[in-house]
Amino acid sequence: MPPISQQLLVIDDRSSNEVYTLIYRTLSWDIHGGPLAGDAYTEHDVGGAYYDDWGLTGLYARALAAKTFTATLKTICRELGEQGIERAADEIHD
Amino acid sequence: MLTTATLKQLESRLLRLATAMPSGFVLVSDHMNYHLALQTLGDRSAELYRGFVELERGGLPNAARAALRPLVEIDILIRFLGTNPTLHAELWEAEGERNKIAMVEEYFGPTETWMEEPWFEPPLDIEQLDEQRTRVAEARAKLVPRRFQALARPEACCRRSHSNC
Repeated sequence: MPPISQQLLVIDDRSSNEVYTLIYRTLSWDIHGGPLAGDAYTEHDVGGAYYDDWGLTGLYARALAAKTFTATLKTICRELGEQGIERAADEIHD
Repeated sequence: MLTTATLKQLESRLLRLATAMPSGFVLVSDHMNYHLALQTLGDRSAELYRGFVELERGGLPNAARAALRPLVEIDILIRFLGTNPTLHAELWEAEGERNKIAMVEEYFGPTETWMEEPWFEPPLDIEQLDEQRTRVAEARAKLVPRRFQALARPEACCRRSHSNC
């Protein structure tokens, strides 16, 4: 199975590339215990360098999760022929 | 402008849709493995999203973000599967088997030295191991030409700073 970076070459879609680079890789810190994980770093002044908020917190994170799940739902229901759910997901997306 | 109230409303609608998703049936079609993969990933995504919302609302944002990453990954993965449903679903399944084989081989070493009663039951027995190796090899053989194509585009690959180019 190609790694996700190579899957993106096959998908060849700008929005997927952006999601991978800016969101997926940033969230790696939260999964692997990176120093910039979560919003803790927004409150700390480490060695004179203040880590600014990247925005993956609060409302932004919730909106991102909702948008991502809506897109997944739309794709899966379209492929499985679940038109009712796909239409409802479309309404939420719009 | 997105407000907390609007978002909460959207989340509630999405959670209702998540529970209405089809589950536990097999769609008989030419792309059955693909449809099974989508159903599995859809179930997982729905549960992750429900978990994310509950953790966020419960004041546990760090735990919630841990659920967000696989949500994003699944969304990218299903797009990849859809570009060649039959082949990519087969590769996806074979990747799981490959991981299982690697774990068993690494932990237990050569099959001749397996303990008679290991404290942890291996996920595969010796007969299954051979069978799974064959399946993985068959899937890999189908991948090689496509993989070669992807790697033959270094200018596209090296724009990103990932480790495998």
